[in-house]
Amino acid sequence: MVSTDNSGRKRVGLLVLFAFIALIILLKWWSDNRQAAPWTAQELVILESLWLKSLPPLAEDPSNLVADSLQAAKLGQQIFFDTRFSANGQISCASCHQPQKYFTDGLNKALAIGQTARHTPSIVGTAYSPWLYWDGRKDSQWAQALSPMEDPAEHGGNRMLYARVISSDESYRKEYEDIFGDIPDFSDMSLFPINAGPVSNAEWHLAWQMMSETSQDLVNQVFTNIGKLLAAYERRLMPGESRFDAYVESLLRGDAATGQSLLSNDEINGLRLFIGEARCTECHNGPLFTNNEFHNTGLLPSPGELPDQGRSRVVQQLLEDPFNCLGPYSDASSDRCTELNYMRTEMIELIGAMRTPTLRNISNTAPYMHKGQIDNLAEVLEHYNRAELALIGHNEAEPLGLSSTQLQQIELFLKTLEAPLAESQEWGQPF
Amino acid sequence: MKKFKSLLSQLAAILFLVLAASDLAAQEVWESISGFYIVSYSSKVTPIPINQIHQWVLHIETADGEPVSDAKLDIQGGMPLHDHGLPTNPVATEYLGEGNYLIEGIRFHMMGDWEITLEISQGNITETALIHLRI
Repeated sequence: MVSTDNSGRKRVGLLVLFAFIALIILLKWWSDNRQAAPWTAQELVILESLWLKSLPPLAEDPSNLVADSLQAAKLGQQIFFDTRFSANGQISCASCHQPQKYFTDGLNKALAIGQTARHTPSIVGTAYSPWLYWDGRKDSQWAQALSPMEDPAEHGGNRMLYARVISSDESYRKEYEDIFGDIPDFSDMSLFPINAGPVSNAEWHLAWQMMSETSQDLVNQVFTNIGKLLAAYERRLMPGESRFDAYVESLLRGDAATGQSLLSNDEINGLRLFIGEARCTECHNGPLFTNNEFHNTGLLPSPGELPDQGRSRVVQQLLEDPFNCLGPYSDASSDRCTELNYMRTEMIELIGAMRTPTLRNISNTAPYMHKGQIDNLAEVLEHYNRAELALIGHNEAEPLGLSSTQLQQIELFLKTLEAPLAESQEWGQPF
Repeated sequence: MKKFKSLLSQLAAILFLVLAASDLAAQEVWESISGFYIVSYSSKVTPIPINQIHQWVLHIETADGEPVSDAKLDIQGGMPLHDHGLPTNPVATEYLGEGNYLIEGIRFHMMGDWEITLEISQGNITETALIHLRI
């Protein structure tokens, strides 16, 4: 009889187990299929502000007269992928800004001729930013494009070399002259050495110093125009519509049922946290999910490095930059340089502050932060959830106290921002 | 009785709307700390956008309604709840007459409650006015 008792108990145990599993399945089904709570009018306003179709038309760049020229963009595209614009003939802009990786490189810090000090940011949508680089040390896409070309760790060459690539290549020369007019004659080596530029290479630097101001200016003009061509190309790199955008569009149409089929409940919950409790939209706002401003969020430096001073270190440098909007190579009248004219120069918040990156395609552009010091989105979210004291300056973020489930939901939402680039067939590959 | 009730509720609704409207209108004018100046502003871009540099016209008059001409203005601001300032350094670039000043270079980079601190100097008198706004 003992054995019968045992088998009875076993049967009851199995029934309880079965009921328990059934309950879990039911709960999961219920949580997956129940309608998410409707959005409030205020939340809908925020959702619309993040929608890609809310992006205003790109304003003209008064500092670059060829910014919106298709011919300039096509020539810029060729230069972007051309490795002749480097000291060793092996590096182009696309070496680090790789189209297939949304114009990033997947590395902590960029590797070109050497290793750079910071992580490669995406170029997509940066035409909307008043500031370029993590610390915003350039105020236009064209001025930014010039710096890596002379950085010994990046393209590693010099402006004289690059001006000569344009003037000596028949196709480049013709296109260039169509856009800007005659290119100077650089054939007299006594006036224009093979290599020259205000760079760290002592020989090239000396050659540059030996040149007359007039010769330097002629080279600077061609160098600047290379930057303006690259900017005309980069200006067309815009994000495409993501699942999130389709969701918002359906909500605004009043079609909640379609909306519900586009995003899962977890993704919707993540979105609700993103615009609410997690306070992400304080900085990641607008259709590009960035305010393009500078914030200290208490990031640790890379191992063995001192904390990065960020924005505070470059403000003076930006004001003195000959390639800024107010400088001699800009096409803008001084009153059109509004961002530079009214730039904040002294603020404690600028210490250790870096520019907010876009979150569109963020799940495709690991690692993260200005040094690539965080490997994945889960850890980034943990970082903001903890919001520890900053090593230098003041951490603007505050601890959020979110649960691990909530953090996972935000991460799931961020993946709904994945999308191919707009018009990627045309602009996302070598010309 | 039913009609009277509905009339009463309509009157209450109208009263509410009038009060709400007058409250809104009242919020658009700010007194300086000792009540010497009355300040109001209008943005050249409405509604005030985030992440877009734009211009304001500030109107300053005395408590008696006299326009204040040729005052020196110092403009600061920030989000008190976030403990940070404005992202730009706005400047009064032109006196437009009748107590109106052109303010250039204003930009807000977050939605939420902002505070503009306006230091108004005229002769030996310097007064501070606070403008509160929600973006």
